[in-house]
Amino acid sequence: MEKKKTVKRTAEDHTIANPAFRRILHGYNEDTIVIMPVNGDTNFIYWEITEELLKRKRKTQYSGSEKLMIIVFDEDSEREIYSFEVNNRIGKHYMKFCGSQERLVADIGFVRGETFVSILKSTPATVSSFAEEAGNHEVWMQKVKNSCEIVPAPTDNIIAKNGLQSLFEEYYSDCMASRSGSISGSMSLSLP
Amino acid sequence: MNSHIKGYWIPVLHTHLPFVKHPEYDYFLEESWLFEAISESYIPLIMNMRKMEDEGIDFKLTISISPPLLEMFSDEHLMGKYLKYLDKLVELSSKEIDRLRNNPEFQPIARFYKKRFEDVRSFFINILNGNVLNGYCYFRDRGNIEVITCCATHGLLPLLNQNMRAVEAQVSIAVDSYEKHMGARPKGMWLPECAYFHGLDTILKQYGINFFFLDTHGVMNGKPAPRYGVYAPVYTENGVAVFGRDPVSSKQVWSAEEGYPGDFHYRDFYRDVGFDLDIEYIKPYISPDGARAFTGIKYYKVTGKEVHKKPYDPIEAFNQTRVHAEHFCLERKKQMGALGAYMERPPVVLSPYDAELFGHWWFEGPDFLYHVFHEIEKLKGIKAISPSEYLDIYPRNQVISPCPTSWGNNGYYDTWLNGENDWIYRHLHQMAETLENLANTHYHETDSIHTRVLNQLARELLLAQSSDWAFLITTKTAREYAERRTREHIANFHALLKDLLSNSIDPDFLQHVEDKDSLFPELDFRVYASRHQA
Repeated sequence: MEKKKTVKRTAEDHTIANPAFRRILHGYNEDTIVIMPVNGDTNFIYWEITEELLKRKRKTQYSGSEKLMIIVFDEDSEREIYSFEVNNRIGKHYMKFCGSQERLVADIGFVRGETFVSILKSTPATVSSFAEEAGNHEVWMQKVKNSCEIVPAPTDNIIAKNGLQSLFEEYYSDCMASRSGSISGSMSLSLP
Repeated sequence: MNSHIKGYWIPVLHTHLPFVKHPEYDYFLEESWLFEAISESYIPLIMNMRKMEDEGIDFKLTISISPPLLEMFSDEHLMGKYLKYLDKLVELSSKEIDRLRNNPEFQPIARFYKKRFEDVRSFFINILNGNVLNGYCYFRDRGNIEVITCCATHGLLPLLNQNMRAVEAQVSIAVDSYEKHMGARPKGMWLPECAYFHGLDTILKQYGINFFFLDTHGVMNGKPAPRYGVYAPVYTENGVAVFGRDPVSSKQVWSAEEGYPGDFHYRDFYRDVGFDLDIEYIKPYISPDGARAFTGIKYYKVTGKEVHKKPYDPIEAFNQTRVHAEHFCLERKKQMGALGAYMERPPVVLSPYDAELFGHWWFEGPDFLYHVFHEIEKLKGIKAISPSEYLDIYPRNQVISPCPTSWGNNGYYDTWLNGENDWIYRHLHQMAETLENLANTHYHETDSIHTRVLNQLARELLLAQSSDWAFLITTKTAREYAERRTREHIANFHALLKDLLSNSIDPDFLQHVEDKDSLFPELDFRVYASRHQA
């Protein structure tokens, strides 16, 4: 595309117009580990561990010969869910895990003997799943202006509930089956 | 409550484009996204609202307008370019009438376009007074549309929530922008890509947001299960109402296979003279380097799967929108009747669409909506309503915890977080953290140039957070531009930061990025401060 410059851009000359300027940093020399949900069964983890942190750990805990690894655990139960070896100070990884409402924490560290020694932990990420059964207890709220109060649920009978359920199944099974392709909200065309 | 009402219908048009402004160029391909959307969607929709007003048709639409669009509608530079764009279209259509003087099959279509472009131009200048927003405000004041907001730069909040100040800033800046442009606080918010995470409702409530929308599964997979599915709103624990998308009415319009826009009578989007005509002839109306582009003049209808396309007939297509509107309303009536038999109140059907579907992608979309409202008037029993009106009538609703989801492919965040675009988030999170720290330490900053740098850092972060870039990288449409924009804002941020920290600010560079990345001129970086809160 031909670009007609219409204004003098001294700033641009040494910044934006220079492709080298747009080469953004690979890392920030800051210790970071983050876990983010991608969908119901996949999470994304990225990390950066600085030499400084490793040096500090070497003085006390980490010899330098142990392999770094990341373990992912459920914060509430402390159950280990997933682990993998880490070969680079800066990296990323996708993990498959189909859980339900766990609060997942990614922890980077190393194994000494039988023990995992933590270096840095992420904040928790919550994953959600289609799999969990819903509870039955209903709460209803009435909101007038900004005032909310808890009120009794409607007294629909069991026939009504069953009738609605079968209608939902008709509507949702048809549409949910095809939602991955055709009824996505954002069409995959050029105008965003 | 009217006992004749069998059900309520909430049509929602989400209106958004990313902030694209290149004052340094006479022509910039991606700026035409805005110009095409104004000419093909926003103005035709407002023109049809005016037609309904003249005909005494009662209509009700909910329209979310994203803050970048609000800013672009009011940007003199962009609107000046838009007028030139319209002039070019009128000129091209005149040339087309001449070129086709001996072609009775196609010349009437060229005449149709010339009249249409002239009408749009006249409407923009004389009725809208050069700002599309005036049209929305007029119909809002008449009570026909409820205008709601969206996040500041359409950031996908569940992927930004490593830093909650970044999420809160997306919400609070949007509310301020809405108030500036619309003169009131918004009652509702369109969450970018309908993406929700647990706890977001706390922030929404804090900024006076009464309702938002989720895709079907965001409500249906909530805990506990919603008694009425998506056919009544629910409240979050914080009392913010959530309306869930009806999958049936969505599919009737969105579906690539079965949806109305694919009907053979409608205009074919892809056959455009920008690609079809001789390069020397069309060159003044496409990219100056000869790269072909859409012009908006398209002579063929969908026709069918065969390669040989038939000429487009605007009248035939207009009539087909009436047929489809009748079908759509009849289906709603049947659906509402079936649902209503089991509910203690009339069901509400939420049908959210991208506004640009109507007119830009589906050329006849605005006429479809026009006929839908005509049909509703005839049918009785269905009432179009806004979310705020509905909640006034039915303030009692079930409380659930909605499921974190989006309305994108596969229902979660895959489109915006995958192997192609995941590199973005490391930067966005680091920048947000940096800005929060700077906002805390510089909270009482009085130096004007330092303040300008800090405000521009906030703009660069906001622009980098736009979900459009990650989307375009995934879909491989305008991918190069999307990557460039992301890198540019990250790079600008770090260049400004370096200057600030070394106390050697380059005033030319600062001025340059302020002029170019000029959205939210009133922005105050202190919105990112986590200390010093009132």
